[in-house]
Amino acid sequence: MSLKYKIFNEIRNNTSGHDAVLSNVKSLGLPETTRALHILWMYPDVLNVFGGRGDLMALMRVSCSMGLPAEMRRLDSLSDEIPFDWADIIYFASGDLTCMEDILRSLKTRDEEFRTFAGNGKMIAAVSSSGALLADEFIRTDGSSVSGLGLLHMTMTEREKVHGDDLWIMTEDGIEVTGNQIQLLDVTLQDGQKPFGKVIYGRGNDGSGNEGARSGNVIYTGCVGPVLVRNPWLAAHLLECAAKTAGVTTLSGSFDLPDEEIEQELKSAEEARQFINDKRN
Amino acid sequence: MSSIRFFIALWVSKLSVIVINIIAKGRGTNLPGQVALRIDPLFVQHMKGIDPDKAVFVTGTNGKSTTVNLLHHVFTSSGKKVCANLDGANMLTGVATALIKDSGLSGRIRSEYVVMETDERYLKFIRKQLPAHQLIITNIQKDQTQRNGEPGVISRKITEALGPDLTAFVNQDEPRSFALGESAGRAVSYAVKENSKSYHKESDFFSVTMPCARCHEPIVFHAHNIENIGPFVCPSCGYGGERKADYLVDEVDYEGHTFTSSGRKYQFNFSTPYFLYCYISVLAAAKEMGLSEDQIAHGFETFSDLRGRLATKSIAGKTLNYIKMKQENPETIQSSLNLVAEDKEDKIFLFGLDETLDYYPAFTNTLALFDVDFRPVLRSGLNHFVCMSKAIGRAAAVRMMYDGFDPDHMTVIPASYEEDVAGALEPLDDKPVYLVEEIPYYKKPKKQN
Repeated sequence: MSLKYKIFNEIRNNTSGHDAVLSNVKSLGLPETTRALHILWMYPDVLNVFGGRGDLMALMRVSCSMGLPAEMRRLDSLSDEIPFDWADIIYFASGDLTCMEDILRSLKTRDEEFRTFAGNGKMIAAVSSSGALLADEFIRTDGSSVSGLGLLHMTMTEREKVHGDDLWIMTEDGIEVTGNQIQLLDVTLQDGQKPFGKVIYGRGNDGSGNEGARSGNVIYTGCVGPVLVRNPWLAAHLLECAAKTAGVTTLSGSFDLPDEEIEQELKSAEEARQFINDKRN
Repeated sequence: MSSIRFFIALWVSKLSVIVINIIAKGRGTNLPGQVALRIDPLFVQHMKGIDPDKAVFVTGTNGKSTTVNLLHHVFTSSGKKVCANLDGANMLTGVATALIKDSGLSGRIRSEYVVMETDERYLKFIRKQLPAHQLIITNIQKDQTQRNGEPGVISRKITEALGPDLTAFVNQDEPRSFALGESAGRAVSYAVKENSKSYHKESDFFSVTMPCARCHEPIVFHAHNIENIGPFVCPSCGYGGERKADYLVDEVDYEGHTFTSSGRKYQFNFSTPYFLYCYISVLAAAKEMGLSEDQIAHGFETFSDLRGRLATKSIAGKTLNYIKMKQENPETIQSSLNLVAEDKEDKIFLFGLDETLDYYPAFTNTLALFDVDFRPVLRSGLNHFVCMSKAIGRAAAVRMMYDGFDPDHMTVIPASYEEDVAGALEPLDDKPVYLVEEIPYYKKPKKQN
């Protein structure tokens, strides 16, 4: 087994309970005082569809593979204080649309701090329906609308019918990403709002060729799978962006993800591309 | 005019039943209903002799078919005549077909009771035409994402069908469906007490539960009777902890095949906890609809469901134990994995998650993989594992590596045809073999050369 998979499993098996901090610092042979990259997992039990916890596992496992010291905490309750001063990445995994209003009620009491956090170049990422939290607003099928944090200038509109298919995109940074899209919200980007990527296959935001949204290090994607498990090179990119803002580096100083560490994932992505190409032909 | 249209619809569809019986006996669970509804879109509403107080629908993610079959058996073994869609055709067309087959030329059904399995998404449309006053909701779980999206969508669809004229039988151990009782005229709850096959999940850093249906804070399960179903409470708002179930399985004797409810012992012809929920919901509905405990007990004694989840087959000199799963439903995958893990010997584990083909377009669906925990299989003793799929075999292998499976003891094969499986098994040690897959590979078409 890959040595770094072993490290991931060791630290996972040695960390029990939800209040713990998951850390690879010791396993990487670094002193406990080492400044690690801090990843905050938002509402794991609440934002819990499409295997979203896999994204968080991927962030830690890829950190191990890159030799990047990383620590992860959970924020379980909507009423818990958000540790903005601690976090370098705030991650919202994919969640059920029915929860978004209650979550937003809680987040909006801290919207200035979210703005400051994003303004300082720190990372906020949201996947699938959880993108509604970062949007200007989302509109339900009954016509009611809820305003989001407004960190990404997009409007999300609930669809009458679910769209489900493969999704294959190229991000603005030239990273190829494959996964699934289970879309309950159409996404309209406002003028000036950059997408996260361009669609190679699939529907993306609204069928217009754009996928997701990105402003600095605030990112939304509709790609699930979980997206960071299926595309560890994207996880590596997010970690690199966040680490550079936080002033954290890897053991080697390089953020490259060695191919031998992701041999199976590379083959898996090839399987997916082949399947999509067969479907297209 | 509308009655002429109804009779034309009825007679043409009845003719189609005769034709189908001649050319393809056993088929035609939907077609007669399709024909009838094409001619008369309100065909089901126009059927005669249906008493809504004696009509019950069964809906939910898992357990619908078993519950309908059991309820049908309990009524018929008590001498009642029942119209039911036992073949699982659970859209409006399937319901219409069952009614057509049960009715005479006047459109009056012959049965006293109507028991219908109903698709969650179409319940509203079916109930509009056939306003049954009873509804059993089994559970609401993640399933068929391409069609349902998220579980919240299903809850909302079912809620749209509820009303003050309805008694909803709700599963008190399942957070999403229990909440639906609040939208019905009357809610009757059923539950299963923690028992010898209940389990507690490891509270590791990555363990997750689900949001409370009322306040969306995290739910806490005291125990799982089956995956994500068991006594629970929301520590934030108290949801789930406030009342005793109206119908409760108090004690279970799995070896003796009995359970006890309100001091009475009932026969239970299964050994897995999953079926207890079917039994207790049927006990609740049948009793509330007027059957005596003796009649219900007699029905339970004589019920047997042959559509099991387990089968065995010999292949490459090894005995292969096949366990069926619904590959988009994490709860049934987890139950299958837990069943494999009950064998504490070193074993060979085959996992047949494949692309989703249910609806157009087919896609490389890997969404359920991180909603389940493969570690019970690993910890129970693993000699080798095999992932079988051209489209997502590697993705499944990666998932297992996240749970500590060693790729040095891994094989990925591009398909689950018998010769592929035999080829993969041949060089491996002589160990018990477990296959978890949606479609039994031995029922699949042979590989074309």
